[in-house]
Amino acid sequence: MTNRRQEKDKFVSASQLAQMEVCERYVYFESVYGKQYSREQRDAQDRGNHAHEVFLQEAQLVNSKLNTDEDTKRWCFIASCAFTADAPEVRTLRVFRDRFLRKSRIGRAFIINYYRYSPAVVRKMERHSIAKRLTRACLRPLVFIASLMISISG
Amino acid sequence: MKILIAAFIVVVICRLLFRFIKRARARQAENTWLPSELRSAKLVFAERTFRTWKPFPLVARIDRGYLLNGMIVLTELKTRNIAQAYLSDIIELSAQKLAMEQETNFRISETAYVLTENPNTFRRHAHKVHLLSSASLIVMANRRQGIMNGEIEPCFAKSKGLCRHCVYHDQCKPELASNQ
Repeated sequence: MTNRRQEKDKFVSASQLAQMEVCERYVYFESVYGKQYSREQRDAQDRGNHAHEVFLQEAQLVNSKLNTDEDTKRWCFIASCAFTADAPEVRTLRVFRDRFLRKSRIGRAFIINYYRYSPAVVRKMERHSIAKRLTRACLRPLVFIASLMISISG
Repeated sequence: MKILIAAFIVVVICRLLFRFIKRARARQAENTWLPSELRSAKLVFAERTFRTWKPFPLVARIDRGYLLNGMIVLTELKTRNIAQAYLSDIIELSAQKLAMEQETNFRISETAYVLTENPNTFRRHAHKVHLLSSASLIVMANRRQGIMNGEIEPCFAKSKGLCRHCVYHDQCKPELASNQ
C-alpha cells in the first residue's frame, strides 16, 4: 500500500503541471501544507466534476464502444464502492463470480450487463452515503449465501 | 401467452426506438459546438487515463480523443464564465499528448481543442490551440521539482484576482509581490 502511494507521489499530473502557469507559489504551498480547498474552489470543482460526468454520458451516447477508464477497471464492482476495493466481502463476491457465474451462459450474460451498468450506479452511489449504506445492507445476505456456496464447493 | 409475447415485443421496440431517438438527439446536440473539422472524426476515447515514466513520471486523463486521418485530436472541457482558452489549458493538453504518445502508439495531433462551458447558460465554445513541445514540458516539470525541493523561488500569480480566493493567501502574502 505504501509502495503504491510512493509510486503515485512520483507522478506529476497534467493538471498539476498546468497549475505552474497559474501560480507557482500555489504549487509550492500545496507541497508544503498539503492539498487544501477554499469554498469557491470546492464549488468550482463540484461544478467541473458534474460537467465532466455529463460530458462522459454524452460521449457514451454518441459512441457506445468508447475506450474509457471504466473498461480498464474491471474490478470496480458496486460492492467495491459500498465496502472497499479489497474488503473480504468484495473478495468473496469475486470468487463467487469466477467459480459460479463465469461457468454458465446466464452467469456470463449477467457479468457483461453488470459491468455495463454498474459504473453508472457507482457514480450515483458515490454522491449519496445513504445509498451506500443501503447497498451494503442488501449485499450482506448475498455475500453470506455466496460464502456458503464457496465453502460447500470447497 | 400471446399477449405476453406481444407486450414483450412492444417493449423491446419501444426501448430500441427510445435509444435511437436519444442517440440522434445527442449527435444533434454535439454538432452545435463540435468544430467542423471534428464532425467527420470518430470519438474513440473519453475519460481515459494514461501514464508514462519517460521523459518524467506523468499521469494524464484525457476528456475526449477523436480519431481523424489516423491521428488523435484531444479535447479538454473547462467550465468557466469567460469563453477563452488559457496557457494552462494548453500545458494540460500538451501533457496529455505526451502521456498518451508514450503509452500508446497513436499519433497525436499538434493541435487540440479547449471546450469552454458556461456554468450558467451551459453554452459551449470550442477553441483550437497549438500544443507545446515535450522539451518545454520537461523544462516545466524540472522547474516544478526545483520549487518543491525549495531550490527555486516560486513566482507570484500573474493575476492578482486569483489570490483573492486562494486558500494559501495568509501563508503566501501576495501583497509582497509588488515589492519583488
